[in-house]
Amino acid sequence: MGVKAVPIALLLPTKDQVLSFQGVVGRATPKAAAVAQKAVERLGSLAAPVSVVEEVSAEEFSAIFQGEGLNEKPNPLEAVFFEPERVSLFAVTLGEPVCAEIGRLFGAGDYPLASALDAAASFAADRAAAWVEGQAEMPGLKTLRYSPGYCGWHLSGQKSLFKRLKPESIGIRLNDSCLMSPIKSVSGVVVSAEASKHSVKPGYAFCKSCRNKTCVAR
Amino acid sequence: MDILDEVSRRLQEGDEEQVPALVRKALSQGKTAPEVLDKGLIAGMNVIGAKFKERELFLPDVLLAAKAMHAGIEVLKPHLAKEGLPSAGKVVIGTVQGDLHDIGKNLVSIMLKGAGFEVVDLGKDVPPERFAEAVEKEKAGFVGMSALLTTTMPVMAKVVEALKARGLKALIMVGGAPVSEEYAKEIGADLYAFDAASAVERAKALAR
Repeated sequence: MGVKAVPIALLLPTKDQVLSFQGVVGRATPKAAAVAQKAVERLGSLAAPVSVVEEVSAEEFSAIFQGEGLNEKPNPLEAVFFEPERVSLFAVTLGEPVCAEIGRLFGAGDYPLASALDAAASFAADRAAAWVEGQAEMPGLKTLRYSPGYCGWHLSGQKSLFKRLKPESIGIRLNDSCLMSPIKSVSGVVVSAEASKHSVKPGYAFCKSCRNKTCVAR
Repeated sequence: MDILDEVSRRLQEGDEEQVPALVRKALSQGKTAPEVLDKGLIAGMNVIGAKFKERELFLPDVLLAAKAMHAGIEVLKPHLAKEGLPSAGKVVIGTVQGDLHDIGKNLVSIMLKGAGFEVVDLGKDVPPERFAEAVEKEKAGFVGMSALLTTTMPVMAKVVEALKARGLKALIMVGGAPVSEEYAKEIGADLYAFDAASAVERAKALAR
């Protein structure tokens, strides 16, 4: 719990993972592979991942989850968040320099490296969130993370989450549209509960526009 | 091989060093700048676009070709300023106010340029009035908007209103993860694009 640096070596993708993230299927061209490798190296030199985690009571989280009352109804997360064993708010970021470098590369016309670095950073940000999730595991229970903006939890939920967790302590800001800066940041809640509680089947109205669909793997 | 075919071939290979060298050579051989642009650079990007659509190659290769094209255009720019820039159309593009996601918008911008469109990129976090001002000032035939959050999507409708208030007839394109065909129709946009490739394809179809 609290603020922790996340080991960058655990987050770096391989060049093949970067290419796959960019939609490449099968063997990449040598030039594309070289750019992907360069992106991984650039990410390794620029990223300074850090997380903040705080355990909260189920009652406190219920108020955070309800937020401004804009969540979708019915909402599958109501069951996930009902009487869990442990709930922890989290936020993790790769830091500003990576994001600034992506912008600089696009501005300079180095589109291939900008896109590859963006893909590498997105991959690493997700891995950082998975690392936080792993740190919170409890024996005999399933521990998974959920974020505002997904599965019917309205994006405005970020406001109540930020108010409680204060990720500004690790350099993450939230704008009026509930967008985090640096953009390669992830926030949410990590829930440890019986495995069956995490079972969320797509089929809700909000599932139609979802491009994530990780619920299927749960 | 004709010099312009060579420009096209090298562009398709993503050769950012040979493309500008071949562009200079083509000009020295008496080819006009619009000819080099259209039959060398854009022709090469059209092949890339077609292969990308058929999934014969992927985004990284498209961007390598686009970078080579950018290098070629830099050589052509002073000549095009003299002879006039042929264009498939002019697009004002940006990520709407409150939103800082710009990777999708950047990819659309790059691919539109590759297809011969002039692109005025307003960047990110762009207020509705700025879109409208730019469309009016640039006399743009298209405006493209990106939003990646459900909280910023509604700004798209405000941009549509701002354009209407000024009597502007630019074709309105929208895209971004939470956006849909239905939403585009709801706010009065002219087209919705799922990704950068379809944005270019649909813009080209409307430009004809």
